[in-house]
Amino acid sequence: MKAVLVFAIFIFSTIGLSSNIEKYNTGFLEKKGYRDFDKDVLSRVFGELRTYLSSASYINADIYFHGGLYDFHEDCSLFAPAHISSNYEREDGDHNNSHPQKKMLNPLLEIAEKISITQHKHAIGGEEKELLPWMLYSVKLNPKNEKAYIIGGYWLGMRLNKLNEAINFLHEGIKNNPESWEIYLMLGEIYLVTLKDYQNARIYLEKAKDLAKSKKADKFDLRSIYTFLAEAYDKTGYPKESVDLYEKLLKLFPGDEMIKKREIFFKHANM
Amino acid sequence: MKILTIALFSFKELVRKKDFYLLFLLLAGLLAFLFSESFFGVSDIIRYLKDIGLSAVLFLSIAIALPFSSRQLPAEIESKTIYPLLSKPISRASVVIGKYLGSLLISFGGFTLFYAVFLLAIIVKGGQIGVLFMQTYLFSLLLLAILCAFSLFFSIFLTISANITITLFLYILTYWFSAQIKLLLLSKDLNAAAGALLNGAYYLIPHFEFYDLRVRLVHNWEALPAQVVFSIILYTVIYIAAILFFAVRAFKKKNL
Repeated sequence: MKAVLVFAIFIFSTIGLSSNIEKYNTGFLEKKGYRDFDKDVLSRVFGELRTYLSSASYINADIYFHGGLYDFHEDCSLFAPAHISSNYEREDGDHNNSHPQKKMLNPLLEIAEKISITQHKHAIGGEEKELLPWMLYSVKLNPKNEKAYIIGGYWLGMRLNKLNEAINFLHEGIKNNPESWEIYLMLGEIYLVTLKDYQNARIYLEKAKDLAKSKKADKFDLRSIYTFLAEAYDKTGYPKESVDLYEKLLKLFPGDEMIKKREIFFKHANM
Repeated sequence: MKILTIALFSFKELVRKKDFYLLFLLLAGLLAFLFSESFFGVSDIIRYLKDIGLSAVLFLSIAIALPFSSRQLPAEIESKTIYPLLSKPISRASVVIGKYLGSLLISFGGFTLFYAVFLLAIIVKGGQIGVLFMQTYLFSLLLLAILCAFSLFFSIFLTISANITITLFLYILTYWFSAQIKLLLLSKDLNAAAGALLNGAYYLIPHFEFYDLRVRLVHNWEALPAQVVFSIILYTVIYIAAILFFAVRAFKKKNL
């Protein structure tokens, strides 16, 4: 009987106390601006460490793309795989981690060199799917990781032909990062290039343009938005807007021959 | 024969202790979780499973190997069972070697079971098992063998917890240091004196990085050539022999 009484007191007091502590904690954190704290188990477990883990997960995707090596060269990033032609093609060139040929007197050093991977290869031809877990873990750990949404969306939509998944993933990214023009741009790009859904492409690219303006994006960022949006305008029956954008682009890049040609083309086509 | 009896007696510890079963359940749970993960409905994604799975197998195997090997001698000394053991016609060298073999049996047994579960998960997920899986198995055993040797050597001077900490530090630090020394040795602008010093250090420190084939295995690189495999086996045997030699010497000098 005593044991039951003690157990009952224990249960009621812990339930009462824990709910009050919980209320206090949530209220305190919400006052400080941590609104999502209560919803996310990972936030509770890892705290701010999760942002670092999220970045590490994103870097791991890059490592996977390079066959296990971490490459810092921009021309070889996750976003620029177009120059590769065959499945897991090997790359020669000065951005490999190979060391200059040096006569090795230390046999252990020779073994170490033989074991280590000094050439990298790119994940292509379906191998890109191996990057996906790290993209997903990255955004699970930190839903504010815009890059992971953008690159994940790119691989899903533009390379792996998983269009619905890409769109859902990017929409989730927008939900968590409503001010990210980059995610809108990627979404617009998928609608424009892969789905040929020009109406939707225009909507998302216009949103990207508005957000980029308010965020003061640089001229190179604007270049990609304007180029895609001009295309979407043209395809949806807004030729004037398309020409306007090319004129804006010419102001940003006055000497660019490609933009000049495109502007002339659109002007003539709409005369 | 006496050495083997001591080794088998040590191995029985693995079966008796609950640590192993708990770690085994942890691994099975982790692999089941990884296995059940779905990534945007894309099938045949396997590298994350290889990567995280193998790291977990190694981590848990080290978690078995180090405490067991570091407990071997201190436990005998603390419980005073070392005295009846040494009163028999068994040399101190045999005790050290026997305890080392016992540690090896425990570590190898634990790792083999963990690795079998890992392989099973890979096969069920649709992965191919090739030569690299065998090399990874062999190299992981070699890693555990060298770690056990260090741990047994330190157990002559240190308490169990200090021993585990020091051995883990040695593992992590030398892993990092050897990579840095290698980079320095390969750099062009290194003077002769610094080169000689670094070369000496490079010979002396244990090269745990030799046993890490994770990148090769996960990213489907080619297997190591036989010549390199034999070189690493030879290196490990020599290194372990040297550690055990000093361990036997130290144990002979120890006042019990």
